[in-house]
Amino acid sequence: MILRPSDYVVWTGDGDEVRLYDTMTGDFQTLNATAARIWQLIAQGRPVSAIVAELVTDFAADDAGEAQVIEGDIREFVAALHAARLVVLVAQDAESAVSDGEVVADASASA
Amino acid sequence: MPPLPPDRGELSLIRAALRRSGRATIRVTGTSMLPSIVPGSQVTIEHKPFAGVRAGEVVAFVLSGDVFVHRIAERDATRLVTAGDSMPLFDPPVTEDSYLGQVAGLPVPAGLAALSGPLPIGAADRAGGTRLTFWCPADPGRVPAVSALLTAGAQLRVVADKDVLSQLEQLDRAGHADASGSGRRALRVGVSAAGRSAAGTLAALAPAGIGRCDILVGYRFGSPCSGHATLAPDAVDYHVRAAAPLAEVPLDQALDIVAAAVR
Repeated sequence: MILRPSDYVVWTGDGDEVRLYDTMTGDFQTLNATAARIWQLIAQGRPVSAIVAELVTDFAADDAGEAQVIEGDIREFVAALHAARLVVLVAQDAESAVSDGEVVADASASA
Repeated sequence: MPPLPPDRGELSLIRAALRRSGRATIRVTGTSMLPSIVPGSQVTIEHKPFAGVRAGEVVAFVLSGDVFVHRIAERDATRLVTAGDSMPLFDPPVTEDSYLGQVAGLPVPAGLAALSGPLPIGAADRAGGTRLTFWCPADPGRVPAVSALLTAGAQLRVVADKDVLSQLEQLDRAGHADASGSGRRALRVGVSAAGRSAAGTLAALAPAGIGRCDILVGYRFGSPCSGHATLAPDAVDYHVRAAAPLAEVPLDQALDIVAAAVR
């Protein structure tokens, strides 16, 4: 699954922190370092599976259990971004068609 | 949307949204636009050229780094004169640099008179006549309209801006506030370029017979961010201006206009 920031979102960030402005709701949010990194990888057009792989390598290279937790956290965060319409679906891949079915359904509803 | 350069605050995000899409929604937190805008509600700023906004419309602008949403009372080619619907004073002039856009979806009042608050004088105040004291930060010299009032019993006090409030409070404590014996302190009127209402509204003072009334002329009112304010807006009960909004007039001229209004 590949996502991108919504057209309604204006954002700024320098790696350690990302600030988001939802121009439709007037809400401002500040992402912490890890969330900011995920956001920036999304903005670079990286598939969610690749984002998971990169962060697992960095934080839990030798620990399968920890890797599973990290993947769950990332996918939960991405789903929250999507539910808040801060990101939109660009492309679906075979891997995420199964694991992210609920997110895809949301995307269809908002299209 | 692509990211902005780093290290920018919320204001830059709002400006960027307006540049890119012509719209930006923000949440309103203050009460200055009651009843038109309720605190906590969302308003949408839309791009509109500075030259295109007119009196009665609500605009968003930046003052001291914060975003304000207030209504235009008047304008000329380079400045907007704005105020919150529930505020007694005009804001510092809004220039094109600080202007963000127009707030969509708010009705324009039928007449600009709707922007002026009512004079807070009620029927219950009709006792004992009105006794006026004019307070000025400097000697105004001879002002014909004031002289006539002084002959009729009014007073003129020349008191520096830093001392005027303490002297007013001293008089109130001494029991001079109200000759009718109600214990209510004197009505205080501020006359400044930022006053929301025209001096003509003071004409209601004479028939109302409100007891003692202190009229402060030549002092500056406003929030500290306006740069040169000396007295807080709530230091007086009612604000008027002697001339056009934000137009400074000499002290003697302001006194003359105000005295003529209350005579």
